Amino acid sequence: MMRISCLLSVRASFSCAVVASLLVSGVALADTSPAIDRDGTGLTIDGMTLEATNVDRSTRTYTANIRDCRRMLADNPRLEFRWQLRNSPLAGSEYAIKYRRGSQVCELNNVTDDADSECEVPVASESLDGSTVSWTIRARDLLDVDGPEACTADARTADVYFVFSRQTGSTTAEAFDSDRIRLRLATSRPDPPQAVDVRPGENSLRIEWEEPSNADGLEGYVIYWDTSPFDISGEPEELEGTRRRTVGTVTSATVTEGVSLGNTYWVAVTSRSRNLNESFFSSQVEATTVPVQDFWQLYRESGGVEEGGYCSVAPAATWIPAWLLLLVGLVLARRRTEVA
Amino acid sequence: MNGYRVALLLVASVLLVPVVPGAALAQQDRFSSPINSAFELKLGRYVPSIDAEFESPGPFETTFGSPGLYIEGEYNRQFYRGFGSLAVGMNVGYLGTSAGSLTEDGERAADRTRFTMLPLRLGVVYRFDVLQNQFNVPLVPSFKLGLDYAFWWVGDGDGTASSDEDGGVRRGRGGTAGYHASIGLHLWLNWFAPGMARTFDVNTGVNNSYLFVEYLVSRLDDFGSSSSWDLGDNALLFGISFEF
Repeated sequence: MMRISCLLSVRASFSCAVVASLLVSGVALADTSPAIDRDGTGLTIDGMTLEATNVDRSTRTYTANIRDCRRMLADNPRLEFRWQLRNSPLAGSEYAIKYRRGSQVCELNNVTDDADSECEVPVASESLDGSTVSWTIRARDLLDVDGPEACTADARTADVYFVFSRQTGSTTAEAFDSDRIRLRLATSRPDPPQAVDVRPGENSLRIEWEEPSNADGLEGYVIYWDTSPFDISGEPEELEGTRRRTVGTVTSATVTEGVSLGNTYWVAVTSRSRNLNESFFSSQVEATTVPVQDFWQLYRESGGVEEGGYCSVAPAATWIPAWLLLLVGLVLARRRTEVA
Repeated sequence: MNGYRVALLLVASVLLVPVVPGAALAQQDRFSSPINSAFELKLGRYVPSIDAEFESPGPFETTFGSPGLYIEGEYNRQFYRGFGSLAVGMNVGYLGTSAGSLTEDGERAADRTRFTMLPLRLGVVYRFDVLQNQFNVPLVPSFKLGLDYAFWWVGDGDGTASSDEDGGVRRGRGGTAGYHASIGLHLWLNWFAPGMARTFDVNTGVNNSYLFVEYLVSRLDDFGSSSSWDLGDNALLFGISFEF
């Protein structure tokens, strides 16, 4: 048994080291045999980063959500895969790049373009001359994102395999190693929250809701509020100009940004999955801020005699540090006495 | 429970405590490090007497109900050790409580209002540790007396609270002076584990450790000023203390 690892590298703005291991049965090889290096390689996606930032290092799975999918449609970024070999390949070693989509099955015990294989094999029996292998493909092409419908309630997977021969002149399965990088498109939306309610204050809104019936896999909620009604029939990704705040898996939150006395606000909430896909909007609730009495106002209006202010010329900002300084000074004086 | 009853209880506790004859701890360990300071950390329920000028329920109770926990740290610098010890004590306390502001209908609104108090105390501390040092009694009464100055501020969710009045804006922040007295009873933990206490002294320089209860009487009303509220209280505090 031999343990190998691989890193996927893609160009430009986003770099993410991916480490994986694969147990491959085979003959025992000397330490000088080629194996995939864990270090010094990465992944770059040209012109975009995956918003979901969902990189599972154990399975080296990159997940793209709805927003990522739409950017793929708009920009069709390039993905560059790069594998770094720890040792120089043996003379005569060859490699192949294979794509596996959906439930297709790839043959990983050869580097040829096997006609019987379900995989697409863009590179076959290529001579493995150096210790680095790179391959570039458009993200949209790899994931078959060919229209907006792919970014709606869809889930699809594409694997990129790097297969290479560790021994020359052999056709046995044990003579090959392979490594896989998985790109996953997850554009299903969670269910929206229920029973949204708003309790207005003077400069804040307290929003409460119930979690959807199927709350598994939720990462949190997004609260939307505005001084005018907004369109909740559309998709949250398309909504612009409305204030929003993301919260965790709670069922209530207070918002203060842009909230002032005497205004009416419209509020709606969406659920957010771990892939950062939002549900459609909950129902929209309206609330008008009302005057409130804080403790000081209530005290004064009740006829309290305290008027505030300091009986010293120095405010708290001066006295508190001075007091703490005196404390520290006493402690230091004690320590100095002990040393003496 | 008033102060006199607490004092009687503490004295009775000292008189009734069992004495372990012949214990090695009866005298100050000759190998122990010198003692000239003490540190205390204590906490308890503290309700400022703000509502004393109103009929019940006052604005403090109406707004906050039962307030949060009061916490206080104290450093003592001893200047006399003989028949007990005398020290200068410096304290920094903290009380913070918050609740939803009230609407005109008396409902709780989303806006939070907060009351924060930071009392600073300076006083004299007497610890009657003669029984501990001479007769191995694990109880040490303490008595404190001093002057206080408490900074306080009221928040309204978006900053310091204020109220508009004829003469202008009254800011909800300030400082109030006063005084305090307290009586406490310390339970000497070394008595239970003398070996561990010696190791603690060798490693950290802490000679004596205590759990204690303290009855605090404070008057924070600018010494009876007619234009001041009272932030004082009679409070029972619990804590841990180290003498070093």
